[in-house]
Amino acid sequence: MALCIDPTLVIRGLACAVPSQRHTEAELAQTFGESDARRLVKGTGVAERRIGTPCASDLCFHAANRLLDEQEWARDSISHLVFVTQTPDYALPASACILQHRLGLATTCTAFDVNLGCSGYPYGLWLVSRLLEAGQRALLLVGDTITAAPQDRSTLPLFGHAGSATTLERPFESTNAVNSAFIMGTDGSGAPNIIIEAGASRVPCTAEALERRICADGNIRSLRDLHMNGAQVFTFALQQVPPLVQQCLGLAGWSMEQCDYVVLHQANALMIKSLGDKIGIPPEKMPSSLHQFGNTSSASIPLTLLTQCQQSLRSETPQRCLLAGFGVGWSWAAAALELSGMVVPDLINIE
Amino acid sequence: MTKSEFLSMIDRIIEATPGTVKGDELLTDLAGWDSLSVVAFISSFDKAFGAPPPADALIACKSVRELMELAGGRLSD
Repeated sequence: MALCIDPTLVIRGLACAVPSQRHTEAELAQTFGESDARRLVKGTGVAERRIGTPCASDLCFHAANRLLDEQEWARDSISHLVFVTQTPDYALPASACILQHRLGLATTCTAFDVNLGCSGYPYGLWLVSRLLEAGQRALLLVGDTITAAPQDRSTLPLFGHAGSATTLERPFESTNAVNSAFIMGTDGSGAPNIIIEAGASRVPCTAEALERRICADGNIRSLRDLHMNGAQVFTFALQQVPPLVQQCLGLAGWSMEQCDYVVLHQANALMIKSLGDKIGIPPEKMPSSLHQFGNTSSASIPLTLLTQCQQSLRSETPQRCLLAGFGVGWSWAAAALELSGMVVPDLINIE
Repeated sequence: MTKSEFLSMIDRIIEATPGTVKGDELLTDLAGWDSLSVVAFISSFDKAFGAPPPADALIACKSVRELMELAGGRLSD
């Protein structure tokens, strides 16, 4: 487990973008029938998802553009761009390089992709905190456009598309003496439990790999489609997340009572509730965007912060936020942050 | 937890009338037992016993009786 305390990191702004196209129970009913669609919505807690944008980078681009404009940050003042995604534009080059150009950032800016999903937002915040030197600014873009196989009831009702942009800086002179705390961990034995096998180097995208067939769990998908073993994921989360949250609180020196928000990765409603009960998080401290947007992978935490805590983040009163992401990898990360006075534009809808 | 309470827990998970599940059923014959029921079972099991069942063992279960065996000696008569 990697631990880190950063005393001078400042998070200045957050913007998110989602596609306008909505996928609801009505669309699920066309595939699975009305009764099953109703049961899937009730079971997952996802009433609606936004889908349709082919590239996560497009969503993040719009979010970053809006945020940089509203903050009036000169494009050439950004020293680092990190793009966390599992749905890049191409196998190569890194989408971050394309985003550097599209956003008009300086050619002196470092830019690279990070292939992480559910843990990606707190992980990305930690990574950027390690890059930033005094006087530097950074842009953290986090988003995914995970698309499930059209007849896979274990994934289709869950996943939505979203992208986010977060601006961070390390001032020469710290205006506050607030510690940010981070904890990260990895257990690659869980890799087969959330996986798209085909499409990279290990399993090439042959016609056979693209053929959708009935799998052992009764769902229809190909090796190019997302596979998720729900039982393994749920068990992993119940074992890993409670100690992760408690350890991060301890590292920050906070009690649960002193915490304003605990934002968990928006996996599904039952998992969020089970974790909240097990950890002892008061429901009013657990904002959720799942009902409206589904599981948006790496973007689920920033999207929840923006849609559910926008006014609090804009307030000058510091908000103690604990963020915890966990899943594909297995990979997990938590961040304890005091957020205040942030620039937080309204959610952007992309046609 | 008693064996009867364990069976009632499965009744609730599959939204069946109380007393429906007797313990001898194959999971494939249990109306309403699907992937959503499996994660609901994990959640309920965790709440009852303080830890989730081993996922590999759960996935291998073919009957309600085998689900009960996941609890080991923690079920009373």
